[in-house]
Amino acid sequence: MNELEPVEILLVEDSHTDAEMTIRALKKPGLANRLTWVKDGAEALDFLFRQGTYAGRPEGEPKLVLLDLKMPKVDGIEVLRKIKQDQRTAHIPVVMLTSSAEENDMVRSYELGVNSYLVKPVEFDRFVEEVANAGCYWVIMNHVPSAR
Amino acid sequence: MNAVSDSIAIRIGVAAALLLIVAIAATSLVRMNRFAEGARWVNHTHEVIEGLDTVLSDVISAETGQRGFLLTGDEIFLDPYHASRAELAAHVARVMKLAGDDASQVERIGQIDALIVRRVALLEDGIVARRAIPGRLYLSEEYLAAGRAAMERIRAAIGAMKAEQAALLEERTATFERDRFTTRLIIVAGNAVALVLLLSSFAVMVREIRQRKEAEVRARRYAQEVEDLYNNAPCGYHSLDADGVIVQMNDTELAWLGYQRDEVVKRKRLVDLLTSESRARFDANFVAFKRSGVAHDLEYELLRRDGTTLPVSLSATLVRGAAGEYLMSRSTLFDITERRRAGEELHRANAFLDSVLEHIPNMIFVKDAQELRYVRFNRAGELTLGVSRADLLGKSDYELFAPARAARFVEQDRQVLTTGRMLQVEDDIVETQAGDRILHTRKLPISDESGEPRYLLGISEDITERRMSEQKIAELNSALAMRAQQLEATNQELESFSYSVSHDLRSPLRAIYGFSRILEEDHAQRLDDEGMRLLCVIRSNTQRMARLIDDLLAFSRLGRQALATTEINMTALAREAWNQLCDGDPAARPRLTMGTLPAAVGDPVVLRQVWSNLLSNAIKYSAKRERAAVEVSARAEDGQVTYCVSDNGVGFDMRYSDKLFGVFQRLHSVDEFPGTGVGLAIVKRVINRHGGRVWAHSVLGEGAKFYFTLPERQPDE
Repeated sequence: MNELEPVEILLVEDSHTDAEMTIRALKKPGLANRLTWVKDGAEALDFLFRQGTYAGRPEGEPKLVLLDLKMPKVDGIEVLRKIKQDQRTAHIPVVMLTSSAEENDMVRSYELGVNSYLVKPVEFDRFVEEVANAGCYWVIMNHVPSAR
Repeated sequence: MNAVSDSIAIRIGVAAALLLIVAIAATSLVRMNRFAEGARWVNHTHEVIEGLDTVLSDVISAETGQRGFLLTGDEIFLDPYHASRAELAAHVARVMKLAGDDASQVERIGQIDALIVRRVALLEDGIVARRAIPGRLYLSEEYLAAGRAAMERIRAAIGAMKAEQAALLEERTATFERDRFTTRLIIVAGNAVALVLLLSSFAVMVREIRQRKEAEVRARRYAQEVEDLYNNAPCGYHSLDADGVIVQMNDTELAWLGYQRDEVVKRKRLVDLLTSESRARFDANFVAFKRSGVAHDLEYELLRRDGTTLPVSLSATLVRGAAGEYLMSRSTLFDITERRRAGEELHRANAFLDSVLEHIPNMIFVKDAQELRYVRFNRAGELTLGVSRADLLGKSDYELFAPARAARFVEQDRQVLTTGRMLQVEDDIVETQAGDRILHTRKLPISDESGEPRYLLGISEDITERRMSEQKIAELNSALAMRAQQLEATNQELESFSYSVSHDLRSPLRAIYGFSRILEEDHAQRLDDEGMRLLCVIRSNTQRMARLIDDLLAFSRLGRQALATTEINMTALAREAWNQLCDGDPAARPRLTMGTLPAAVGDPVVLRQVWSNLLSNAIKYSAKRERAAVEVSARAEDGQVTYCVSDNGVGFDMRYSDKLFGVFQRLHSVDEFPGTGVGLAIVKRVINRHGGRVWAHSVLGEGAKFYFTLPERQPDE
């Protein structure tokens, strides 16, 4: 990973297998090079707000946050709220990538301003396709205002 | 003018007229007498004159005869002389008699008589002389002169007297004429006045007669009016003599009774017109009435001619004679049918109220405001206090309760009666003969028209049982609340469990699936065919596990979601589910028979799932038939609709029908018919949550029928 280049995708995922499959899926369109994987919500917040172990990370915000919902310590909903409440991070597209198809979770996520909500399919081929599509769309096709 | 002055005027007028007539008559009588007198006098005067003439004639006749004798010496001539001499005295006497008491006339006649006597003496002398010298006529001059003078004197005397008589006659005639005039005047004038008086009196009399007649007419009319009033008064009138015999009765009462007057008056006694029951009372009352003289509002039953009865109220006064003896009664009767009916109605209304009071399940009591003694009590009260009515009525609280309790009651009662406001005493524990009772009592005053409180009304509800059950309910409620709390906690646990299931069970499945694919992709060249087949088995089982998890989640979600019930067009809903199921291949569709289904009430979202599950089952289990047929039917009954989905598929063994609706329960292998065994469990759960039932019928190999019921209408809130 090139440390000098700004991170394009922040993957927040506590499951190693899911993380590995996600990264594998993003590798195909070449989106895995500038990807940072953090393993829970607390670490994600540290990264985004440059605190704790990420206090000295280089300038630049990720172009996309892939956020799991159910995580130890701070869950995905909480991370989402913090991102969307803070002016510095509110513009960052957040895509929920979760196993939960619960109505409740979807409603809450959209209330907090999530940009997209994906349910991880069990079938690997569909999983790869959906994750790759989402990555391409948000990182390559989508435009965001430049960071202030 | 009034009758009194009229009759006085008449009397005065008539009396005056009569007096006048009497006066005229008297005057006439007097005048007539005077006329008669006058006439007599005139006659008398004539007689006197005639007598004098006769006397004179006698003298002349005597002289003539004597002269003849003297001349002839013939004695024959002396006959008239003698005759006249003979009559002369009588004739003089007659005149003298006519003169009567008139002294002057008597004197005059005396003088005349004396003159005649002398004359006659002279005559006699001549005769004597003649006779004495027969054959010679001796008539001395002296003698002749004397004779002439005597004769002259007689003539003069008689003439004077006659003249006097003639003057007297004339005077009397004049007086008579005068008298006749005044008499006529008096008679005519007097009679005229009397006539006027009589006419006036007559006029007054005529007027008075007319007035009297008018008064009579008025009096008669008045009498008629009074009689009419008596007869046609809206009440009955009659009078009884001392024996109770009817002596008078008015038309109204006769009409009531249906009798004619002559059938009753003086023929019947009042008791003959009374019912036997009234008769006895009348007899006693009549005796008292004759003593006291008044009877007031006595009620009797009159017996009509047609045998029916008429209730009346009789009041009477007694008419006494001068000596205070009984003359007759004067009785007034009122028809009191209406009053009696009103009374009966009042009685009925009272009885009704009594009955209502009696059946009210709350204790009701009434006390008089003065002494606070019980005057009314009902059955519920007897049960509540354990005291019979007989033991309670007329008593005060001090005779029924402990002194402190009684004092409290009395204090409440007084407060209600003084303030005039209702008092509520809640949860009052009263020690009664029937044990301690919890009473909820309302006390209120009952006032008379003037607003003065007369009674105290009390209504007590015995809430002993209610309070006890309330306590029981409270206990049950708190137990229930605890259970609910426990359930809530359990539900929360289940919630987080199913959440975990969805998340945590799927994640490893995804990994197994994913990594088997990665193994295949990255290491295919190192795997033989058998290795590849095993990877396939791993993947298909992973997929099946994922479906199981999805179905389980759906099932669990159904138990938690609130139902949004509404009236549903079930025909449309079933049709929609069917069309979606058969979306793929229209040729593969079984034949569906479905009419119009009755509407039902429920949550369309979850009921759609029910139709979908049942219909997909029907399709699935009939798929192997050559002519697969599915039928949907329904019937509404007793407020609920029973729907039925039947197929001609493989059916199931009824021995296992109880397992049909269990979660993950299957009667066929996955290889035979795919499925997770959750579909019918979902159906059962949904229908049960709607308050309906689900059951199934089947003959193995001949198809199955699945029934479920739903309410036809929203349950009343």
